Amino acid sequence: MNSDLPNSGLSTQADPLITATGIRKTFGPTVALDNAQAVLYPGEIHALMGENGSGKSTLLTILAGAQPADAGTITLHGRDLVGLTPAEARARGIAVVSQEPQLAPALTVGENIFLGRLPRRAGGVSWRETHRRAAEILAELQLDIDPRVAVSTLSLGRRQMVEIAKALADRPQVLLLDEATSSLDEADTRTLFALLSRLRAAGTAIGFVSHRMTEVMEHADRATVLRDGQYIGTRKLSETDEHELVSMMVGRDLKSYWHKASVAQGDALLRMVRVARGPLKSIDLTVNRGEIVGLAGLVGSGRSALLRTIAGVRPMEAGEMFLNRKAVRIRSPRQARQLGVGYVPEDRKGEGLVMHWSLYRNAGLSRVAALPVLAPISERIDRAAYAQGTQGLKVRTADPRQAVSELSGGNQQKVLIARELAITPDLLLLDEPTRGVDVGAKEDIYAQIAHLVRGGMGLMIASSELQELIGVCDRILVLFQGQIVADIPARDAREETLAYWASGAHLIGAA
Amino acid sequence: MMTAAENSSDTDKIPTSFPTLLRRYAGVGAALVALIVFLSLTQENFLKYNNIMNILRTNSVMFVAAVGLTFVIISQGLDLSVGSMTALGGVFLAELLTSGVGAWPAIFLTIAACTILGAVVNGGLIAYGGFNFFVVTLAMMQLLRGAALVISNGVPASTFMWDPVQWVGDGVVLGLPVPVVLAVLIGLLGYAVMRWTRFGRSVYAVGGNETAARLAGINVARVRVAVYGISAACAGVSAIMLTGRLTSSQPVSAALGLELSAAAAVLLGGASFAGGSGNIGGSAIGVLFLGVLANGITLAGVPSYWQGIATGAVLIAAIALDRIRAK
Ligand SMILES: Nc1ncnc2c1ncn2[C@@H]1O[C@H](COP(=O)(O)OP(=O)(O)OP(=O)(O)O)[C@@H](O)[C@H]1O
Ligand SMILES: [Mg+2]
Repeated sequence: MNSDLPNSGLSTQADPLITATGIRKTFGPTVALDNAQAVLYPGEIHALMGENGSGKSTLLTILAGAQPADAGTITLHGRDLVGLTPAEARARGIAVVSQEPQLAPALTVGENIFLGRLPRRAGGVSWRETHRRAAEILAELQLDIDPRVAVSTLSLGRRQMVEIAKALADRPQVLLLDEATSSLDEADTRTLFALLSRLRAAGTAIGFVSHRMTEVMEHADRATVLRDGQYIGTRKLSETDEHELVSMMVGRDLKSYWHKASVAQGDALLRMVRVARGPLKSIDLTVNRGEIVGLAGLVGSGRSALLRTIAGVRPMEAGEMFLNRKAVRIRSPRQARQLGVGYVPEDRKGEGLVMHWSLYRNAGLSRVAALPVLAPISERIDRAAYAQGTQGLKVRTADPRQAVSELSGGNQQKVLIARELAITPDLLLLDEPTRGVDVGAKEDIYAQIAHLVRGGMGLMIASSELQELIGVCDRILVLFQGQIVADIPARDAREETLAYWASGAHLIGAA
Repeated sequence: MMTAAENSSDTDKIPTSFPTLLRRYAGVGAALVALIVFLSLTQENFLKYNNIMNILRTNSVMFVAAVGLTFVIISQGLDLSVGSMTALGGVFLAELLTSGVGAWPAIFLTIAACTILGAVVNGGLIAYGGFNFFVVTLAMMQLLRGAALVISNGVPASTFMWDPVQWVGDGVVLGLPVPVVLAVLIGLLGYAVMRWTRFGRSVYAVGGNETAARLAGINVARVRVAVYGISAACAGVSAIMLTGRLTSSQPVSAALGLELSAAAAVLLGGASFAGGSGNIGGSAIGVLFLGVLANGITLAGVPSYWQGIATGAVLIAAIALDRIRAK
């Protein structure tokens, strides 16, 4: 096996901790994995890379015993693991944080962390012990979360951290993270990687999937690339570069990551004057036709809250809002949509898609919802919406009639975006639109968006990927504690500047 | 991890094409066919025209109630007040008739009153008051039955003299029982609304993912009001049919437990309490299955007390089968 890894110099002495070789997995006509492999050594951080639908999540679920492979072998410490079940995998020290949230929203954080293995004492579960140990683990992650609150009260990013805490509760020797950072902000991401390097030093084998190149370049020791379910190769990060990894993933060279829109801007499309609601305090902003405005800020800074207010999910409480120069009071998502506002929420599974519906139906939902109540509809509307919305997005599916739940995460995201593109909104609000989307697909999505912006659409994008915001936006607004603290033209923006404003450092400087 | 959730959602897939539809209903449909074949071979009276018409006529009330409940269950709700609503509808109808209102206006007013009651109280409290559907409709189940008793003093009132009511419950049109024709028409209408209108699609969306539906621009509260209104309207129609067949209102015993047997039929037909799945074709198969089963039990001379046991066992078997098939 080591013959495949001529460069695995980092732990030449050690034997592999966990290996998967010749893995094959099919779902009906879809070949998800075909001769895939991954070899993880103790004390390494290993990135698993590939385009959307290349089989990364499937490989991790197989390693976690959540589903069986059709063929191939998995070894742990050189011993074959056959018929692995999730409970067994956990008992053997293999922990996984999966791509889609798996927490029970109604249960508390502590209960979720120890779900299925709550600390016991004579006569039942020891809640004191549960919460004490949960608090310990949360503290290790530098998380200020009360283990007694229900998970449903937490933001998506916080939930993700709880998922990670849950995986760590077992002190695993193999820790697998599937896009664990995709809904985290910079601060939590930093905390997480600091923790991962401590675990690495202690000999844990860490595998992680991420579509964020910078993250991989900065933190991984080695990277394995899959394409179309096949093993393409493994590289030491010290001996490769972004360019090589991307071309291994895509099978071609990508010229640039982003399409800068820079369109002649038209009239003011949206104007907000001293708008306030809940966490938002006195928001003033303008978005012009043909303009892409980015929203940067930490989790909880009000980025999502701002988009939700415009989208009518939580109506504004004070201030004025103008759309196309007309004063509006948006009270419901329905009304927002009638005014030409499209919205892609952050949580695609919880708030975006109907998971057991087909791609067609999901793509048609916003269009259908805009019709009068008794309007006749047919599959044709859905198909037309799908055709228009997915144009240029390259959704990878065996058949658009399959359930979206069967798609890979990135492809689900594309279907959700397609749903909104299908109604050609005037103003499109995107909350973390490229979460879990691969580099090539990001390019496709932004190219398509750039095309629409040229037609006079206005766009607001909230994202925690600063590099991406700088790449695609005309202007970036930075939010801090519910206020816009900076308004920076993207061409002048640098990541450090944005991070400076987002962290509230300007206040410390002033004090 | 993801597979567990995805497998279970597979069972909720909305049938879109004929093959998926077939797979979906193969279980209950095949069981229905098997039951029919079995009864035809063992009970000589089973295939007689009169017996078949009898099965259809007695189950048309349950089917109409099941049509309404299909809407509610697909929207991820439940309406426990259907049986009581039907009883109250019968009492209300009898009151109107005896106080001199014409038969057709009385029929119309009864259905309208039920609809409004269901939409405003059930729908309003659930959709706008934020109350749990189980609590609201459970309370209404008690309340409406109580109202039926109070209004009527618990005494059945004969509706024998009013021809149109009799006709709806027991008449014949084109050689077919009127209630059966009515049930089929209502079923077809419900099927068409669910399948081919924007409203039907919103019911599936609300049941499938309420938040996603709202954010996509569906007025979720209004959809909820509508489904409870539809369920009550169907109960109103059931009330007319039942009163006509019994030639009297029966405040104490009419439609007792109707909501539960209709819900059982809807679940048999492929809907699930998780919401977002099911359809009226399936509910029709569910009603027929329960109806044929009850008929078979009677024909075979088994005490009718066994009917409940058989229904319960079939329901559990059907759902277990569905689980296994989804794996
Ligand atoms: N339960 C399933 N049923 C049918 N097809 C599936 C199922 N799970 C995965 N697939 C298919 O297997 C392929 C690989 O999916 P997988 O989720 O492993 O991709 P991925 O590399 O994790 O992508 P992403 O970066 O988008 O998360 C995809 O084509 C997907 O549609
Ligand atoms: Mg994935």
